[in-house]
Amino acid sequence: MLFNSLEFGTFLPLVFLLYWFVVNKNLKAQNVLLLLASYFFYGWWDWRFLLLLILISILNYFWGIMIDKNEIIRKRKIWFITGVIINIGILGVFKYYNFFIDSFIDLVSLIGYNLPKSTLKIILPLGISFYTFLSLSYIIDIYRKSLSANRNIIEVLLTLSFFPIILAGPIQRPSSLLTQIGEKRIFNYDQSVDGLRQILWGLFMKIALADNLAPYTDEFFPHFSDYSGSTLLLGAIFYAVQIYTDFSGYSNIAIGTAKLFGFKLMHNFNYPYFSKNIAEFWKKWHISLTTWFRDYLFLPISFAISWKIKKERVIFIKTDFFIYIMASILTWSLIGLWHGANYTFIIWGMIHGLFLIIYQWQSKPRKRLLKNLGIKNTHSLVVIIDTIVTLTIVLTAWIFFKADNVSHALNYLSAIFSRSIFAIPVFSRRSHAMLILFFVILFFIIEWTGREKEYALTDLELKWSKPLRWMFYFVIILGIYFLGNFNETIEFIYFQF
Amino acid sequence: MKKFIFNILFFLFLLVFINALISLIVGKAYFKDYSEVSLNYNSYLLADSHGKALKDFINENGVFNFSCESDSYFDMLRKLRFLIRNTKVNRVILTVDDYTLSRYREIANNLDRSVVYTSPEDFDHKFDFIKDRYLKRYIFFFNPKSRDIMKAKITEKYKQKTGKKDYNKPWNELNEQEKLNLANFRAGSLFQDKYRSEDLVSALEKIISLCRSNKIELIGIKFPSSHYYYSLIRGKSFNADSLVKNKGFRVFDFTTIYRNNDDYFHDPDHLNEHGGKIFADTLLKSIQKQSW
Repeated sequence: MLFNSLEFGTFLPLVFLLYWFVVNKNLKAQNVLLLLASYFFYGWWDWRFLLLLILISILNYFWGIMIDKNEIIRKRKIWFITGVIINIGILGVFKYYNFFIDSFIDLVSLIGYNLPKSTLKIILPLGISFYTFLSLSYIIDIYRKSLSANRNIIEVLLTLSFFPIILAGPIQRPSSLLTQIGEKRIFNYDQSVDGLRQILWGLFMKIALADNLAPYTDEFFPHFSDYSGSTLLLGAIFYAVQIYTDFSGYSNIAIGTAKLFGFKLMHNFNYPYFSKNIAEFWKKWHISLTTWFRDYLFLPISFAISWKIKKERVIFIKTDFFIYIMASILTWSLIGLWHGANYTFIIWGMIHGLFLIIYQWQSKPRKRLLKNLGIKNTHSLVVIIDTIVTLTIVLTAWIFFKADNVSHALNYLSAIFSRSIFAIPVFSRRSHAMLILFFVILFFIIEWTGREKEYALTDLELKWSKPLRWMFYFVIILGIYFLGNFNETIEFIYFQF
Repeated sequence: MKKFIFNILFFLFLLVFINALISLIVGKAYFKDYSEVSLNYNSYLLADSHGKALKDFINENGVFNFSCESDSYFDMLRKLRFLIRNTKVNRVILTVDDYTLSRYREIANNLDRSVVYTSPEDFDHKFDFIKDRYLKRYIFFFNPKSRDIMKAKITEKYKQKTGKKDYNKPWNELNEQEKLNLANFRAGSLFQDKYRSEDLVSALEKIISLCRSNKIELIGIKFPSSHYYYSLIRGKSFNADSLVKNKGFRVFDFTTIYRNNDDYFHDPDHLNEHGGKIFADTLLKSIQKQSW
């Protein structure tokens, strides 16, 4: 079920009414209702994959108990490794089977053996990367003893399949979600109003902005040879805005929906395009995923390497920095691979990893240089240049993210940097694109004014009177109505991951 | 909780009020007349605005003009299924103009109107039927076409206020440049994308196979156009005619028959009432002649 669909528009009020009016007195009943609603929500797409979700959830429930109850380290480890391998194995089969088989066949063909191409095409279950990572954190946290296994199967199953986050996150920490699921939830007026407002803002981002930019990027990227460099550059900018408004819009709807049921979720975006460097960008973009990789991969790897290396320098590089480089390369290639079974995603991740390493490497000399020049790091010119450099890196990486394959991305990039980059962009429906661009600018102005808040419209009631607020909500609704692209149902981009 | 529900209901009430205002404008302009069909015929003409120009001139010869502005193959497929369910159809005359498989037509369709001809079995899920047939029909916020009509109405009002009016002279009174401008605009809109719509191809294939399985004679026709328009679109076809021809059905190409008769046209590619009357006669004679 898509958040921007009539189905969801019918489903959400029904569940809300049942939750607060029928089963409101009983926490267990509320959790059962949410679990059934979550399974209905997920199964609406394909009930066969619902069975997979239930199976994975039940397996993780049992692994959690087995890891928790075994005091013998070796046994805990066996249960833990079994859980990790099976979780990653299932993800691997569904998400990466075709990729690895095709890559293997291509590799073998390089040494002269021609194997027949695999004809088995496996369908990717929606949200599998998200719920697998949630499941993994559940058993890892139990193994690390930072969380006790929950014996209440309903609570665990609900944690692993809570409908607002099941399809594309934000990837929660089980400890936070389990605590909330286990506690009595009381209706909170302010939280619910805030949730509705966040849903409305998310819908605007998705339907009025992202979905209107999608037809342009879907036209420019595959047919890039038909367009001038300037048009392709505009296409890349459109894609950067599209993916942000799409995914951040999705996250707003998910978090807003959870608020309606009394849950507070980890937020996923913090105005990333206002970042002054690539490290800051990654503290603000898809926060739930980057912190997951930081806590469960980057830091453990860094510690593991640091225990092995006792020297002060490795290949003329300071050990600390060497460890950072190694852990970054591994983490960022895996972050890329997490997004999809394609080399373009790995390169996308590597570009970010590489620039993070460069950022780390130059930060001290840069500070010294600015100090010697007498320029403050917060000087507006420095901030503007830093922001532009950061956006350029991000934009270049997005081209790989969107492209079908590596050569497509490289050709797109080289087509941008042709002479025609100075030509006036020419493409069909240009006046419509300019209208959308106007609203995109307006949107970023609103984002800028609200950049200190959880989302741009947080705490609106503190600033504006009720009639003014309501008028603003109607303007947004009419904005969606008049601007929205309803011609085709465009799925959220992150559903494919 | 009471406050929350009260506020929600009040907010919804305001939305319903806006919805009612929209329905006053859109309901009249858009939904009225679309559902008019006679089931007392054996032959039907399925086309878009090109067919609409023929009005009821073909009706007296036993062909019901079931055309409507902006009808796409999606809509024609629905109409055909409706006809098959409700009457005995022997012959279907179908538009196969050069642009009928364009992305333009994929987007500018009548899906929210032609839903009146559907039944639950036309949909994969019953909810889709309820959604399209009732929710989108009466809740205008869910209906993108209502938005487009609203926009057009607002633009029209604005133009009336500011005195900026579109061309309203008859086609044959326009000068060369004005004709060329209009033809350019029209051809540019219809052929704005280079690639055809695969969804429309699939709908057309379903129409063809439905005709074949129900033993309905399918006849493809290409409507007349002015030479201004024709000179711009020559060679740009999305080839709907070939799809029909390749399945063994007849196709009549009338594109150029009135290229020197500008007084038959309402605009670059639509016949006026006079042209429609003459073409209706030509069309029926051609079909009958070939049938013999």
